[in-house]
Formats: sequence, structure tokens, C-alpha cells
Amino acid sequence: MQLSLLSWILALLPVIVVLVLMLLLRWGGSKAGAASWFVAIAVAMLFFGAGPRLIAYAQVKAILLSLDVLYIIWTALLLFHIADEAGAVAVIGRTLPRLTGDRTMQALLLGWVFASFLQGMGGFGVPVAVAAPLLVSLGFTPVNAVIMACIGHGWAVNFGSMATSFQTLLAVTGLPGELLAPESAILLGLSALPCGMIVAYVAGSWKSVARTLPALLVLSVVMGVVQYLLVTNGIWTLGATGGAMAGMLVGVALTRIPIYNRARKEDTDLVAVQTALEQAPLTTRRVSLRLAFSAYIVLVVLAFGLNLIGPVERFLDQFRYTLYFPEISTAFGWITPAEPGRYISLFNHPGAILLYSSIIAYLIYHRAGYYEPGALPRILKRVAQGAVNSSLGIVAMVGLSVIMSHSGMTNILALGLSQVFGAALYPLVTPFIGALGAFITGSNNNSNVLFAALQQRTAELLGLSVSLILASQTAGGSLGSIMAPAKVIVGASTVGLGDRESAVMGKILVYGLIPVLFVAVVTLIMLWL
Amino acid sequence: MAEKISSTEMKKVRVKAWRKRHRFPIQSAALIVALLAPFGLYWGLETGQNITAAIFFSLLALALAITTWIG
Repeated sequence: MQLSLLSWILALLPVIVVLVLMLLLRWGGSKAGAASWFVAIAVAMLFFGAGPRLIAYAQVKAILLSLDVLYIIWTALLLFHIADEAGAVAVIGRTLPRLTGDRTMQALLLGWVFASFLQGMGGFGVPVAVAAPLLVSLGFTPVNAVIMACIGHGWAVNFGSMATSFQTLLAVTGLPGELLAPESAILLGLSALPCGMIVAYVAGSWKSVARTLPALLVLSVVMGVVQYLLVTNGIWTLGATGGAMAGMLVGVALTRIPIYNRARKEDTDLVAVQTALEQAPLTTRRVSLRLAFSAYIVLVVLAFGLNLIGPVERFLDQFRYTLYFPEISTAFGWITPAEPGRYISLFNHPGAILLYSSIIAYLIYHRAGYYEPGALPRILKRVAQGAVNSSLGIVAMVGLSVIMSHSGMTNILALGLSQVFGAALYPLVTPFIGALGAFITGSNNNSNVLFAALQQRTAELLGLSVSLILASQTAGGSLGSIMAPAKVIVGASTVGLGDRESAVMGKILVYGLIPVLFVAVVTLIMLWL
Repeated sequence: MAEKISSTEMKKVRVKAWRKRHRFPIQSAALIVALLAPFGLYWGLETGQNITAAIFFSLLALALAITTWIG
């Protein structure tokens, strides 16, 4: 289909329906996603020339992508409930405030630095699923906890998850990592600062941002520089992880400074919550702090071990599953080439690592006597109750996005955006296209699959720096993925907001666009320099 | 008239309560169907059995329609 205002609006229709149903009608993610799935199919078939065969194959591809994501979500929830049932999460929640009484510093350590670290190790949904409940246990409201955990790790998505999104960027564009890594690291390293500032603002107020500005600057520089050094030396798989680990060390050191150590007057409510938490008998048993952290220590050790020990990784990677798809095209000639679907590495997947960690953590807690009778069925029931609704939402949303990309709707959306803005303003639009792709698909990786080649070609046509435009695309995708409904649903489900994702969604969209705008401005400045 | 409205309202309340009570098992069933049906769909497409593919696609659509209804 040719680009026109009508075709652009029609292509946007499924996205508009999701947003209207979730933001205005306050529908839950699964309900809105499923309804929009039908809209996407109707628009694709009626206006974009998609036949039943295209829709069918697109949906099968979408299920492979969904399973890839659900593997992580279910096992992340399992790990969390295994720790929670043992009382470990509450113990961590009671201990962290002892590092510092400063509410904003607590939020920064958990919602920004720790969430970024988890993004480096886990990937999709894990930082939100793990950090948001911990923030709630510190006394933050569930809505604010999800916002902080989502926004805080936005800068770490591209080089997180063992840099899968960046690897995809290299594969799609055919350009070397040495060319794309430096500018990507600069844009993402700089965007760490607005991400942290938003966390500080949500945790407190503008006063909190001003007071913690030195800490924000120090941590941003440390995380950004360490990430830059790692990725420009070819170790992009550990870019976000290394940056965030350095951030954690420096962050803990910062809490020793008096100004960042004491509770403040405005934190009275939180202090009351923490005091109540400390006084409340958690369980009849005493849970040691070291054992409380063991679930997450096991996760870190296994993630590093399984990814860095070559022979182990290669052995586990033998067991991969995928399906192969033929070339499919619309009646208007939009072609999706023959390709394999998403590979799911059954035993070396982030979900598998979470599963191993869960089993080991369960055995540790069980041996320590932290579980009461009937703990395992309770854990499994909570996991199912937390994950079923979210899983349906993800299946529907991913289905919607794959149908949109296979019917050429996503391409029309991107073309319209680039043509409207032209060469002078295109650099400003670039990260928003990346963010749009990630918002719709829920993934920085998929955004790069959809838009990287388009951005590369447009940059060539407009005579712009290809490496900078692609860096801006993937930075936008990184920051846009944190606003994706699928991710918000995960966060909301882990803090008991179940059907009230819409309450979080609107706020995340407002806050989440700020770092994307920041990247757009920096891209423009870097092009001028 | 008042009784009629009241009866309609009662029915709505009853349906809402029923949905709430059965939401989890129905959603679980819908999820299982939504995750498994595409594999049947793929098998139907690859072996040229279009009717089988259509049946599995209908099952998937039904699962998502139920998801919309149950909320």
C-alpha cells in the first residue's frame, strides 16, 4: 500500500485502539490487547491486502516470540515468589533502608541502579518484576514502584540481556560493532541521567532531584563510562551489566556520605512504614540476610557462568527450538522473506537461568527451614495467578505487532514519520521511530528488526551519519521498550495492580518520553558537531 | 418497569460475579489454547490441510474473544 494520510491513520489504528482502551476506558492489558488483535487483523485484511495465510503464519511467529518472553516472565515470578515465601524479600526490604535512611537514595539504588543491573542479567520484564515489589516493600506506592522500575532501567536495555538488541542491530544492518558501539554507548550513557532524575522525582519531588543531583551525576558518569569502555573494547555483551555493577558499588559508597545517609523530614510516612515493617514479626523463624540474598546471588553467578564459559554455553545451546516460515506477501506487494522464527534455546535461555536459580534457591531456603508446610503449592499458585492474565496480554500484543509488521502497516507508520520531518528534522524523529517500534512490539530487539534497515537507508538518502542515526534508533528502542504495554503489565502484575495497568500506563508514557526527547536533542547536537 | 430494570440489573450483577469467580480458570484455559493452537495451525499450513488450519485459527480467535469478554 502506498503512503497516504489515510493509510498512515489506518496503520496506526490498532495502536490507537490499545491506547484508548487502556488509557481512557481503563481496560486491562489482556482485554485491550485481545480486542486490538481483532482490529489489527481486520485492518490488515481489509486495507493492507493481507490474506488468511499471511495472518496465520504471522500468528505462529508471534507465538514463538511470546514464548520467548513468557519463559522469562513465568520463571522470574517463580524466583520472586520462592524468595518471597521464604521471607527473603521482606528481609531485603528491611535491610536496604539500613544502608541509608534517605528515601530518594533508596529509590535510586533499587529502581535505577539495581534494576539496570537486572536488565543486564535478565532482560525482558525481569527488572520490573523483581525491583518493583522490592520498592513496594520499602513503602513506595505500587504505581510509583512500577514507574521507577520501568523508567530506571531504560538506558540499560540495548546493552542489557547480553546485548541481544545490539547484536540484532549489527545483524540487520551488516555494519561492524566497532562502528556502531561508540555512539550507541554515548547516547545511552547520557540518557542514564534523565532516567535517574525521573526516578528521584517520582520517589520525592523536584527538591529530591536537586539534593541528589551530585549523586545522580556521579552514578551516571560511572555507569556510562564503564559501559562505554566495555562496549568500545568489544565486550558489548556485558556493557549494561558492568556499568550497573560499578554503579552499585559507587552507590553503596555514596550512602556513607551524611547528606545521603539520613531520613529526611519529608520521608516521615515512609519511615513509619519501615518502622512498622521492622517491628512486625515477619515469620516465626529468623531469616539471615546472606541467605535472603542467595536467590539473587545464585542468579548472578549462573548468568555470568553460563554465558561466559564457552564450552558450557555451546553445550546448552545445542537444544534450540524454532519453526521455519516461507516467504509471504500482501496483495500490495509487501514481502516478508522466508526465515526461521525466533530461536528458543531451551537450556541457555534467560528463562532457563532463572529456572535453575529458582530451583537452587528453593533448595537453599528449604534446607534452611524457611518454608512452612504447603509452601510449594502456594508458590506455584501465586505464580500462576500473577502470570496468566499478563501472559494473555502478551500473546495478544505480540500477535498484533507481528501482524502489523507482516502486513506492511509498521513500515507505513515509519515512512510517514520520516517523510513528514525531512532531512533537517529527521535526527529528532529517529529515536521516536525506535521508541515507537519498541512500544508496539515490547522489545528493543524487535524495534531494531523492524526499523534499523529503514533508518539506515533513510540516513544514506538524506546524507546523515549512518552510525549516529542507527545509534539513535537503538537508543530510542531501548528507552521506548520501557513504555511497552506488555512490560507495564508485567510490572503491574507483580505488585498486585492486576487490572489497573492503565493507572500506570498513562504516567509511564509521560515520563518515558522525556529520555527519548533527550536522546533526540543529543543526536541533533552530535550531528552539528 | 421498575421491577424489570431491577431484574436486568440483578442479571448483570450475577453475570459479573460469575465472571469474577470463574475468571482465573477460564483465562488459564484460554491461555493454554492460545499457546497451543498456533502449533496446530502451523502443522495444518505446512501439510496443506487448510480446514485443519482454519479450525486451529478459530480456536485461537475464540480464546482471544473469551479473553476480551472475561476481562
